[in-house]
Amino acid sequence: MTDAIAHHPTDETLAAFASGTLDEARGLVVSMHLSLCAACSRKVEGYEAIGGELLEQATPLSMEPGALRNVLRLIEEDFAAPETGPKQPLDRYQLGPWRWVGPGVRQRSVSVPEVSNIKVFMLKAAPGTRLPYHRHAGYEWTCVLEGAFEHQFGRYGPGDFDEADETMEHKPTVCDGDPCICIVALQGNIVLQSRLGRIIQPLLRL
Amino acid sequence: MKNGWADRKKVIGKSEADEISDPKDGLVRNGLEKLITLPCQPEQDRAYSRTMVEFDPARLIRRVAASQDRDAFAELFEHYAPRIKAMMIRRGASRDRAEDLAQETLIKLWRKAAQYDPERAAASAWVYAIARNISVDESRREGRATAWAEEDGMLEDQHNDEPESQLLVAEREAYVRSSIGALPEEQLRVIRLSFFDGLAHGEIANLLGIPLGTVKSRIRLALQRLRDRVGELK
Repeated sequence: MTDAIAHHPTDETLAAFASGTLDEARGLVVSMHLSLCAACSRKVEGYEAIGGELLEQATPLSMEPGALRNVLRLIEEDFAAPETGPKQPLDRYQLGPWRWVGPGVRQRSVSVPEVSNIKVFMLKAAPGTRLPYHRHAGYEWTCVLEGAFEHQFGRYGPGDFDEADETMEHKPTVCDGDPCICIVALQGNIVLQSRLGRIIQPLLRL
Repeated sequence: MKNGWADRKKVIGKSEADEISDPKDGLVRNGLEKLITLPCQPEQDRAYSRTMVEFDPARLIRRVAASQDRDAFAELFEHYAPRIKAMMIRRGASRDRAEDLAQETLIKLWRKAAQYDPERAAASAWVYAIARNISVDESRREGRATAWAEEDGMLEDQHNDEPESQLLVAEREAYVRSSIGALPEEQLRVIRLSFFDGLAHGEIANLLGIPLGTVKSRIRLALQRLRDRVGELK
């Protein structure tokens, strides 16, 4: 936990997360931010209170006869295995190997099932790397895990969250110091603006 | 995400459309609509809660954690399982599947009881979060359920054999409750469709036939109002 996080998801995004209605890809990137940001975690808990209240107000729908007995039986058969401590959001996913995608840039896949052209991956870029000027065909949500990058909207360090969409063009540069490791949910393809960029794009496989 | 949507729209869309076109907004016309409109009637809940025996879910959860207290668990089950079942059906599960998911949620509640921190969250918020996670896992497993159309009318015969509310709510919960009750109907509707029915913002726009931007601004306004009333909504 750090209080140095400057860029957060919007309240609307946090509320969508709390209601369970973000797609899995974006939900994972928000989870990564929440694991690093106490302030947003508290907001999400506040929004869960809304869900809790709606649950209290719901019209109950009778359970099948014997449902409680069945649940108690299952609990006993399972020795009531208690669940300890929260799991890290990435624990449930397989990570691919780091592979080279361009000078100073490596990428590893995160095994989130691909739905409608949304991909999740981690990106590791060396200090000083300038990513090509690009815009997006869909959204690109990023959470920085280590190191930092900057673009025209500011500097993004560990825990910082960047919601870019198709209306945005940016040219991120990795800050000096440590390599920058991010987790990214990307919808559609990025669109490189330069001619050279368009030539190398197939190599980047982004 | 997409699979069951068209089917769900048939069912929810009908009553939502009625609700919109009906000047006497909030009239209960069928079982399904009851689920939609009941949360607008907190007055009724409050009237009930004054006469009910004390139901203190936070304390019951602590008893489950401390001594695997089956009586405490049974009370939690009786209260929450039927509400979670209703929520799962709203989120696209068939009646049978909703029954299973409600049972699964309560098993999870038993296993996670030791993690519950009453200083941090109201019991209802914590139970909601468990149910939501199970619902999210379910839609990942199955895609959105497609059983909606087949189950049309299934809510007509629901048994209302449980008292509406057995709560003695904590102050914080009372604030959230009254704040939700004070939302304008159009904001409450999108909040309910999102948090209870589990519809994404784009799906809500489709359902209500309004632009996505309007859905987003209604949610923003509702969150703003709730924050203003409840402070940080802790």
